[in-house]
This record gives sequence, C-alpha cells and structure tokens, in this order.
Amino acid sequence: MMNAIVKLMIGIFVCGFLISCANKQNQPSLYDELGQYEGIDNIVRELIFIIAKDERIKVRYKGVNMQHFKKGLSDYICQVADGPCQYANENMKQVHAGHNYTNTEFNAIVDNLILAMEQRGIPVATQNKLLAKLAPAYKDVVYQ
Amino acid sequence: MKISRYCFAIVSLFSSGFVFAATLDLDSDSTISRSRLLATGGASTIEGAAGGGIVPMAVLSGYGAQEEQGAVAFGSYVDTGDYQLEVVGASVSWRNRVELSFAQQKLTHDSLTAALSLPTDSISQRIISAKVRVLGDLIYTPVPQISIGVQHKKNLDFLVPGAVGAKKDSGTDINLTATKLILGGFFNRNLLLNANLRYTNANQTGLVGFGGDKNDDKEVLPEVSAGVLLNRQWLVGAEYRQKPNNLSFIKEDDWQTVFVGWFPTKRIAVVAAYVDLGEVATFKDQTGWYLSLQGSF
Repeated sequence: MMNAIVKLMIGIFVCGFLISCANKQNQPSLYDELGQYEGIDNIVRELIFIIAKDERIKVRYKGVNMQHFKKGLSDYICQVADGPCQYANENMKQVHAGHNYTNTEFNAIVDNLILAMEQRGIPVATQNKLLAKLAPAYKDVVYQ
Repeated sequence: MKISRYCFAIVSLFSSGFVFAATLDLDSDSTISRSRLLATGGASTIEGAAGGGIVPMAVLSGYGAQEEQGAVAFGSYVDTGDYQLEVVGASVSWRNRVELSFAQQKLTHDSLTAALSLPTDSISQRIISAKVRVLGDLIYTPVPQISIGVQHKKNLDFLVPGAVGAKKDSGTDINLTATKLILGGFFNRNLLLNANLRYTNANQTGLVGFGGDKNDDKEVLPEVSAGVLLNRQWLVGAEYRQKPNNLSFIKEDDWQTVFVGWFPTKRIAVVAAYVDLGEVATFKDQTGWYLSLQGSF
C-alpha cells in the first residue's frame, strides 16, 4: 500500500517535470499572465495600500515619493517578468545599499506582495513564477 | 476501550483547537509581527522539533524572522491498531536562529500487554531538543537552509524496554538537516524538499530505550520528506525515516507517512497523515492515522 503510494508520487513528480518542460513553448509570458503593465501597476498599488498599514515597514516609506516608488517597482516587476520595460534605476544592490534592510522587512514585503496578488486575483501558479523571479534579489537587498 | 480512548484524543485535540481559535483572532495575520511566510514554520514532529510528522526540517518553529521571536504549542495523536501514541509539546524560537522544544510522549500498548502478560500498559518519554540554523534561508538563498539539532530523550518507563534488551533509558540524537522551498518548482507550485541525517541509537524513537543486544553503537540514518504547496494554505507530501535495528528480540521497520497539512492562518496548523510503521515490537503491519494540531504565537 505505502510502497504503491510512494511509487505513484515519484511517477507524478517525474511526469510533472517532463510535462512542464514540454509545455514551456506554448505558454503566455509571465508579463501577460500578470495582466501586462496595467495588471502589474494594479498589484503595486494594492501593495502600497497594504504597506501603508503595516507597522513593521511603513516607517521605511516616510518621505519617500510614492509615485516614484510605484513606477520604479512596476517597471522592475515588468522587467523581471520579461515585459517590454527598462528598469531605469541603478541595480537592486545600489538602490538598497546603506539602508540595512532586515530579513524581517524583506519577509514582510513578500508577505504583503502575496496578499496584494491574492486581492488582485492572480492565480497561485503566476504568483509563484513572479516570486521565483524576485527572490534572488534577497542577497542585494537585505543587510546591505 | 480503544474506541473511547481514540474519541477522547480526538476531542481533546479539537477542544485545544477551539481554545486556540477562541483566544486568537483568526483573521489577524497582518497584525501579528511574525513575518516569515505562511507554512514556512512547518508543523511539530512527534519529537517536538519543527518539521513534518516524523521527520524534522531545518526550519525553526513559528514564524519569527531574524529580528523576531516565535513559539508554538502542539498536540498529536497516532493510532496504528495495536499502539496509540499521544504527544504534547511546545517550542520557542529566537531570531530564526535557535529553537528550543519539549515533547512528552505516551505510547499505549494494550495488545503487547495482553500477549506477554505485562504489568504495565504504556511507556512515556520526555524529549528536550535544541536546533540551530547554521546557514541559508528556506526560500531566499540558493543554498538550502541547514540546521543542526540535538534531541535529549529520557524514557520514563524502562521496565519493558529493558526486558526486551535495550541497554539504556536515555539517549541523545544529533540531526543535520537541509530544507529548501523551490518557488514554482513543481507544476508552478512551490516544492518543499527536506533531508535529515540522524545520529542515533534510539529504538522506536527511544520509546523502546536506547541501544541493544544486537547493536549498541550509534549510527547515521537518513530521513527524507517532500511536499507540494497546492496554494498558500495546503501542503501535501510524504516522509520516509530509516530506523535502527538494535534488538534481536523485536524487529524495527522503517517509517513512512503521506500527509496533508493545512495552514489556514499563521496561528493554526493541522496535519493529518496515513502512517506505516511496519512491524513494531512483534506486531506486524502497524498502519493507521495521525492527527496533529499546532497553535503559533
């Protein structure tokens, strides 16, 4: 019984990888899945509303030009999602250098981004694809 | 007799759930300052450390990030027909760096008592554990999160374990664990991969004592688990735990589970599993159900 279940699960895993590799060609881009620039912009607006109420991180946004932040983040997400955008700022390391952003703050932002995507009705698979593209920025953002 | 005990355990698990639910605001994810993502604190293993059900993970209990604290309390129940295991425990974690946990286990063995005319019908064990995150982050670093843990176990009813050949009533396991959450790693669902090496001489986790007539040396045994997060709240997966075979009188088989974990909020985790413990102290085919409830603070 148990061995059968384990074998079945391994089988599903292997098939899953093969199918997901084979399907890559015909799928819409992540940029399209997010609703193109307008969809990304809506997610970022939602995110800013959530950040504004978040005691852990809102102090970090005091004195920040939120229009500038909104455009910058939307452009950045557009670019990592392979959309037709050029993120105008310097790289992530330079943007965050000297602020000593913490692991807690990074987690809080990711938590809030997921919440924003949930509220915009972004499917789980699309959420995960975007998070996978954003996660490597951790090393350039935290404790810099 | 067994049915009534089973019902009691279920009722006590769920009543503790209602206590958690009643004392905590279920919709207040954003108001508690525990910042790690939902489900990344895992559940509580039967030995108290954060993980799945039978295999620990490198993650630390609760949801505290590196500038925060976390804590959990849990109750678990397993019934394999001839045996029932009740576990209660708690755990605290500091800055996503150090985890300290406690678990009290009670194994009830009516069938064994009847078969061997034993004077007792249960064995209890107390486990105190510490775990340190050595490097990496579950999600954000290319390397897996790696932790080292120590579990000190004290068997409180050594009469039966001693009679079947166990050498000691206490022992210490050392765990080296690596865990990685691959975002979108399986059909664009998040994939959880976990491996643990346990240095141990515990028989049936220590419930049947430590060391034995056949082998008294500690050995390194592998344990693995994997799961897929269907969405933020639902984790399905399986675990495998290799076991020692120290006693000539009673054979010990490897353990396996398939589980479903539900993380409705950062406050609550519920895990249900089908377990296959193989042969346990002369009783073959010990399969059954596992239920665990955890509250996080």
